[in-house]
Amino acid sequence: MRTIIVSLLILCFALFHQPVFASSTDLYQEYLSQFDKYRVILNDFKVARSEYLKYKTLTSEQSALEASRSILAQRALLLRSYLQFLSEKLKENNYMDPSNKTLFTTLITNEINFLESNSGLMTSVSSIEDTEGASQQLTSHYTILQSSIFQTIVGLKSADLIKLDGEYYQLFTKTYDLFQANRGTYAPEKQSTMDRWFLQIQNKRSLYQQKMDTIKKENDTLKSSSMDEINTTFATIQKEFMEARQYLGEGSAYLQEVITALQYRD
Amino acid sequence: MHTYKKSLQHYNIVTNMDNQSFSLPNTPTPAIPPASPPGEAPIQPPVMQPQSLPVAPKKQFDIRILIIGGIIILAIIGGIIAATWKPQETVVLPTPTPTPSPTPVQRITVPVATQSAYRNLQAAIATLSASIGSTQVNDTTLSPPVIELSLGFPN
Repeated sequence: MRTIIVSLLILCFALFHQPVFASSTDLYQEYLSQFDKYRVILNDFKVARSEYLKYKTLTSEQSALEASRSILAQRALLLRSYLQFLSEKLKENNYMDPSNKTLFTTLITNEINFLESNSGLMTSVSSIEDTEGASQQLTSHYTILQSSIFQTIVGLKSADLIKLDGEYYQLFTKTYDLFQANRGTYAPEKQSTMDRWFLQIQNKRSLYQQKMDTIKKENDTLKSSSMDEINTTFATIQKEFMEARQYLGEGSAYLQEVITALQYRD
Repeated sequence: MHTYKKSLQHYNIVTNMDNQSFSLPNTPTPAIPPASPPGEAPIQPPVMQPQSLPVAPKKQFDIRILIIGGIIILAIIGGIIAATWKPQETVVLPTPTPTPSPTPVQRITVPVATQSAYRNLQAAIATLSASIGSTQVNDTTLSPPVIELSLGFPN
């Protein structure tokens, strides 16, 4: 009897227990929640700062100091939650090149470590000047943080397109093989037309690959740029992503035409 | 005496010249009626009526003008009526005719088109096209947060 009860309990546990994994969706919700808190704390900080700058009293100074500590801590928390979300997105991505995945994961981990050490400074902050110093530490590091974030985003988006390109190439190969295996069943004019169409599909893929090569090169230059250059290069890369996706879309549309045309002899 | 006659002739000549020079050339000189012989009733000279302007003779109304005018007016009215009046169109119900269908093109299907491999490939390509179309390269969820770096306290 006891064995049956224990077995039932184990079965129930196995059925209803689900291991808790923080997916990227959960971490994104956490990031949004931290962002909301940041906005509220930022407003409180702005009020305290303006009162301190206006009255310069000991009370207003104390309020400004506490508000500064809060905003610095929340800022670090917000950035950390965002980086954790990015890190999870990297883990979930199965189409990224392993070496790139390792590189981006290392970059993000380093930034998380930096933010944790920066948060540790909050305990030693005892004056307005100290808060400015702690804030300055993050500001001077922010270019590196931003370039690491943008590089990771470009890597994630590239992986999405690489996945689609893999499927596209696989289907192209299968369609071409099907045509070659049944080549004799088509009229001679149709055969030459099909050859030309397959060539056009390959050309579209070549254009896509050229665009992706350009994106990869530009992503590497994001490392050692100024803040403005990082933003400009990132905007350019986003435009190139759209063009690369368009080439893939046009190629797949051609492939649809080819597969439809392959039904008929003429 | 001889001198007197000469002067008298000269006088006549002058008088005649004067009469010739002062008389109007076209004005008819009214003839003086001869003196009635004695014993007859004196003939009264004709009374000179004052000459009046010639009056145009009163024309008679021409009936032909009336007829021609009437015809012209009728023609104008008839033209206006003909231009504005439209005969009531008779509604002709269209006779339903069979819709011509395009001549079906007899395209010869190759045997491979009926195979499952072909159908699977066709479905996979359609799925891929849909996936590419729905892929968002500008995914805003990945965008980093915008934060204030400087605290804004004066040094």
